[in-house]
Amino acid sequence: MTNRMFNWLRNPVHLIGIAALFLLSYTIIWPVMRIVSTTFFWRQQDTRLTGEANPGHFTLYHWERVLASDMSYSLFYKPIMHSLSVGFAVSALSMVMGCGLAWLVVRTNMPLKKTITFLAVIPYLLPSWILSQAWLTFFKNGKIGGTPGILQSLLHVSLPDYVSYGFVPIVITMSIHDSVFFFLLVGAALSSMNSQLEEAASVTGARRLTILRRIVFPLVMPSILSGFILIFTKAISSYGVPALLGAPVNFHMISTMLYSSMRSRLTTEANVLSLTLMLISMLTIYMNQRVIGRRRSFVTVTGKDSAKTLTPLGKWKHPVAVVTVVVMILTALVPLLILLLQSFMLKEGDYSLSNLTMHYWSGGSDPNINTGEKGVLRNPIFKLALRNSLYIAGVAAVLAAVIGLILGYVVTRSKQSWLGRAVDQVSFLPYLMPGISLAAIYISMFAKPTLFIPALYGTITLLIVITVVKELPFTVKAGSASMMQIGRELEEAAQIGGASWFTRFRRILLPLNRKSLVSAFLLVFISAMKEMELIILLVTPRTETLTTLTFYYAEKGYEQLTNVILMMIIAIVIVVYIVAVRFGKADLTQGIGGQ
Amino acid sequence: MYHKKKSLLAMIMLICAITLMTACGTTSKDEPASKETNASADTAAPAADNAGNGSDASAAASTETVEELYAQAKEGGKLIVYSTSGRANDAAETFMKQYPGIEVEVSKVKSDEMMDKVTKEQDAGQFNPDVILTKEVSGAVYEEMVKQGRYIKYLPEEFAPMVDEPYRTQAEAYANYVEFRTIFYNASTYSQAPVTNWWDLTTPEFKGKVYTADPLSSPAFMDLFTTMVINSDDMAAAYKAKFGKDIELNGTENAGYAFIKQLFDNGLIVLKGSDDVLDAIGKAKSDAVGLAVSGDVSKNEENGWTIAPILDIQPKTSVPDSGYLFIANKAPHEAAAKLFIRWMMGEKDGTGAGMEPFNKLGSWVPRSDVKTQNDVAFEELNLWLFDGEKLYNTAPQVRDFWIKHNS
Amino acid sequence: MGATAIELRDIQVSLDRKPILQDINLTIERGDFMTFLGPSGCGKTTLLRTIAGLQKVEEGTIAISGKEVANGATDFHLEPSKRRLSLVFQSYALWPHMTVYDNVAFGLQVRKMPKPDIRKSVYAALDKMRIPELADRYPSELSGGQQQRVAIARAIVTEPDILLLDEPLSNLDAKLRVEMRAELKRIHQELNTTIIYVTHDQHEAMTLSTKVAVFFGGRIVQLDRPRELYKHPRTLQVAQFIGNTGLHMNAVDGRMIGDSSSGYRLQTPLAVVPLEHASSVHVGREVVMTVRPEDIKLLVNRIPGSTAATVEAIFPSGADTHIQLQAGGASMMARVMGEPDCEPGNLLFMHVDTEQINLYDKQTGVRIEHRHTRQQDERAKENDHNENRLSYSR
Repeated sequence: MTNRMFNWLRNPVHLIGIAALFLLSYTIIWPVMRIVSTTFFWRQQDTRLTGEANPGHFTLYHWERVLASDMSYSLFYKPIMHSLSVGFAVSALSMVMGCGLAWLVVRTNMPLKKTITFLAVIPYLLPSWILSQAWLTFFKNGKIGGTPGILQSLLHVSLPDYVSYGFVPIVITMSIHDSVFFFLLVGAALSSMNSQLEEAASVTGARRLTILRRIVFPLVMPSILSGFILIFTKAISSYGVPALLGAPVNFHMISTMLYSSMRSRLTTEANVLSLTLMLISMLTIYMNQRVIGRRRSFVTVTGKDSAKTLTPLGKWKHPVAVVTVVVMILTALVPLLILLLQSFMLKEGDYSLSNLTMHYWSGGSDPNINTGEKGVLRNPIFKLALRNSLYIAGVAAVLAAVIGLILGYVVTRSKQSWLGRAVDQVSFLPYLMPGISLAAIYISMFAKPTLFIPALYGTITLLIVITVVKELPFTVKAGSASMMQIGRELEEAAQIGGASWFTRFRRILLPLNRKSLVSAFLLVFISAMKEMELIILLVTPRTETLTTLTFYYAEKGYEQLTNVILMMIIAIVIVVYIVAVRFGKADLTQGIGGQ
Repeated sequence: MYHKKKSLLAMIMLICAITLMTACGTTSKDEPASKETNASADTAAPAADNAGNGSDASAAASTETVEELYAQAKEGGKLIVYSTSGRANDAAETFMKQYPGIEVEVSKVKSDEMMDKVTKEQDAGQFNPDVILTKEVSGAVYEEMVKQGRYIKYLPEEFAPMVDEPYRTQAEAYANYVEFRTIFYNASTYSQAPVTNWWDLTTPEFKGKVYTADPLSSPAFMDLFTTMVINSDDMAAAYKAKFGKDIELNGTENAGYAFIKQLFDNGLIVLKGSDDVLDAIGKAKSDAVGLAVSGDVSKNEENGWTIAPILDIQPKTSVPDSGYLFIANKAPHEAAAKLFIRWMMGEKDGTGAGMEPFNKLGSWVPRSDVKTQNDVAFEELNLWLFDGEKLYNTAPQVRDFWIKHNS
Repeated sequence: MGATAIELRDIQVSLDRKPILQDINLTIERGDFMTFLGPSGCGKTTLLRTIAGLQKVEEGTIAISGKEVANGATDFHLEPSKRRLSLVFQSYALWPHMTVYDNVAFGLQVRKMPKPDIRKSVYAALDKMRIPELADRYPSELSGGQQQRVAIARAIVTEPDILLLDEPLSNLDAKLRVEMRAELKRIHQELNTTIIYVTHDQHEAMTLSTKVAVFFGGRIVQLDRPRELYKHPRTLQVAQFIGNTGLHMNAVDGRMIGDSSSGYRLQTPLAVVPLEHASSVHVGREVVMTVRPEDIKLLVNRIPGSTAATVEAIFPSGADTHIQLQAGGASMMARVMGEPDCEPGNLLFMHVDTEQINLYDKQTGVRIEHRHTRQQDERAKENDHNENRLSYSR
């Protein structure tokens, strides 16, 4: 028996898988268990809620309060209906936009494809609240006062509330931001699909719509469903957009309720709410697995590049391209340029040329502006923050990409066994955890040395660790998708040649997965540069980052300075993006687990 | 060759990443600052013990001369400040000029997150911050931090006589500045304050014209409403003063709740944050009013607003939102911490530059010897008392009431 | 020669809890060119991978050159790299990011061989495969045949005792396949290594091997020399498989009749075939008679023992011609040399060479021995009707 165990472990896949499980258990399962356990016990704070509270003892009170009390409707059921409807609507709308765009770019002879592909990724680089702000700039009505929306001042009609706030704009802005997931995922699936499949169908005389419905759609189904899950989960857990657009019409989602509980120090209530979010997401994943089932391997690429015939758009060729580019520019470039412009404006809202200044970028201290706050480039903290941000994002991205690849290797190589499935599913959990609750638990987990792990709290290492953990869901998906494309025999050939596992990984798997690796790197880099909620609790003065610096500026109401930093972040991201695409042949598609 | 180049590139990228890792690792190790901190943490701990008891508030308030503190502080390492406000940063800059040899690092953390952070740190035996500058979180700072000895009050004895109540003896600590939430109006629309009684907001004149930042996401706004519930008798009296009759509660528990309900019925509009509220009433000519923080008035110029806060409302204008100063439990650099707090307080005579960032339009320094930038002096402000314990226990009910009636 | 290269004892292998191989017992002599033949999914590739060490055995033992390399009972499993063998994959599995040189050199580099030696060995292998000029190319720049040669070069560069080939020709077009077949034969002779070759193409199996093991449902159903296999497939299943693609096999239902006094006969719609070594136990059994197309002679005139048949279709294929016939309700295929002088609809007479037929029990599918096994070189007697023949069938 021990011999069998030993032999089982001698297989590198098993050994790494077990090691990975231990790692994931400590960094993911353990925190989740701790969250779960807090919801079943009274805490000192609960004396605020009820006199029955008996600190340290078991109780179902918290669940009852959320699920079955006179508060439940307002606190849980109504918000959850909102969350679900937003989740489904965003997924559906993103699907239509993303798939349509993907089809146009991959399958038709539309011109300007490269430009469009580049533009399509831009909304993803921007924080999603920027789009909602842009929405308000255009569509707000008199209800929330201030400068009237551009549409209202042009047309002199008051837009109804449901256009300006709440469900509709939340869904639209989130969809614009997130449809890039569908674009990349489905685009990849479409481009890997042999166009002979379509041709075979058209030979039988099927109409184009029939072909789309019967042939193309089923083939890209797995990609569509995984896009659906990513976006659905993202949508129900996002806070910024619903807070901005939902508040004026009292449109609450679970995520905004959760944030409120957190800020009001009703931590247990927040935990219960976040667990319900996790449960919903797990349910969707489970249903997805039921739906896709074995069909997942459908699109798996043979590696052979097949000739592709493009659908001619005929006379629509140019109009379609123009419309697409215009829409892209409106949704991607305009908000970006407005931000850029604002960072040069001495006074907000004054669009005269004389109002332009470099002050917020490189100006010295002027007591009349922002109480003497210097331009960003002169801020001594800026250099530190920039270095920290680049360091965290860079190292975390490399680690997350490599670990993702290794775990993806375990997942694909032991797909049928419990080990592969466990690694696959556990590594998806961090996606569903609110960053701030994860961070709170990490403080106590890493504040003092445990076993062989030194006290990481206050070090950059911890920021890197949490970023890596939070990004694992993406990179593992990307890694396994990429590994799935690499025939097992490429590795076996090296194994017979006498190469150890490490040599095989280094000399065969790593170079072969380079493209996906660079893409995963890029994706993690982008989100790490934008990340804020996750790390804000763990940051100490020495580990200040660009995002925490924006927090400082925003808190003091220095909008232009905030914009300057935002522009820097976006510029860095775009430069890295271009470099990776140009030299690393990166493809964001693979970064999000596309085939 | 093409392929070779590609794999080469991949290798180079990896190598770069690895060197980046190690390079940065070494730089941060070599950084003198961090080394110093490590070393000083060891030496400072016994020093603190020698000084007596870091956790005893009264001991902290004993007389110490600036010179003594400076001498001690120079031996210690970097002073760590956790602050909810960027003002601490500004004070730190002048402080470092005034006391060369002491380095200060300021971490900006939201007050509720700061509580989590410090609690978790201290429970794990990590005593990182020295100075705490924080706002209250519905009394939770008092109940969960001050009472537990995690944040320690520090008011030098020789400063005390100049400090206004409640911050001299009653409050949980000295507050270096006091703001409050009040009603703002657009000064280009109204020549004088359009509201004198909170109940004005429930009249048809202001139907659909009252904004507030979302108290669900900014609990400090909830504190105002909670205080109205706690002091419901005041609210009932103000109602009678305004309408000449006793208030009908219509099923609500007291006049405070009734006020919130009537606000909703009158079309209260909830926006995400304080800035959104001021944008709404201040960006263009508007006859609406909104709830925001008094200190926001200083942002008028930059944001192109023409807003003004109302500083006298019946029955009381508001409840103070104080920027409390504490020394953290087992602060590793206690002497420097004390020195920095004294600096932020404006030193003994109240003229030090460290106070400047706090003595602003819309924000009051509760010292009788400091001249305020505002038209009204701190003592003249008509404010409710911030009752931490009551707030702490009442806030969840008010929040529940809010959620039930406004979602 | 004669020493045992590989010995498999009671091998049992499962994948995902599904039994793939059962009771495999096989001895491969040194220098053999052993072919595993069978339809897809029969387990032949799994056995190859098991020998290579890429797949673990559940039960049974494997010994290579007398040394145990795997044992299911003790869960012993020797690393593939230590078994002194090489494997050529069906997909070639060339590493796309390495040049041909690096692909071939990899195994030697891993073994930390000195650089000059590596160079010498690599070029020796490339020379042997006649592709030294491709050394600096990348796999994607090579044709299928060239990739195949690189894959083999990579396999032989380490001078393995055993060379395993997994359907190496299946991805090549017909012309290249013929070419590579010759190449493989040459390599086998030159290197004198033991080769195990997996294929589902009986033609390849026939032409290349010294021995063929036929797999069905995870078991070896027949192990024989190619000639023997061709002549006497052990089961109907094997016969039909051998008779598949290209090599058509005619099968006719029949029944055993007769008694010891009048002799035993097989009654089929085509003819009544006298059987020499049948016995009473066979009488009444339902059997299937198989006869290869080349063992059917077509005659213009009836002779004793022949059956009338109508020509249904004619398939000329150069050197010979297949003629589809309808006789007594059975459809038969006959092969004649050259161009036959007949047309669809013509009535001919077919004569089955009873020496060459095989009989199978219809129930069990097992071959019935109906006479002594004949010498390999013994040929059917020339019959007396030469002038009567449509054409020579041999």
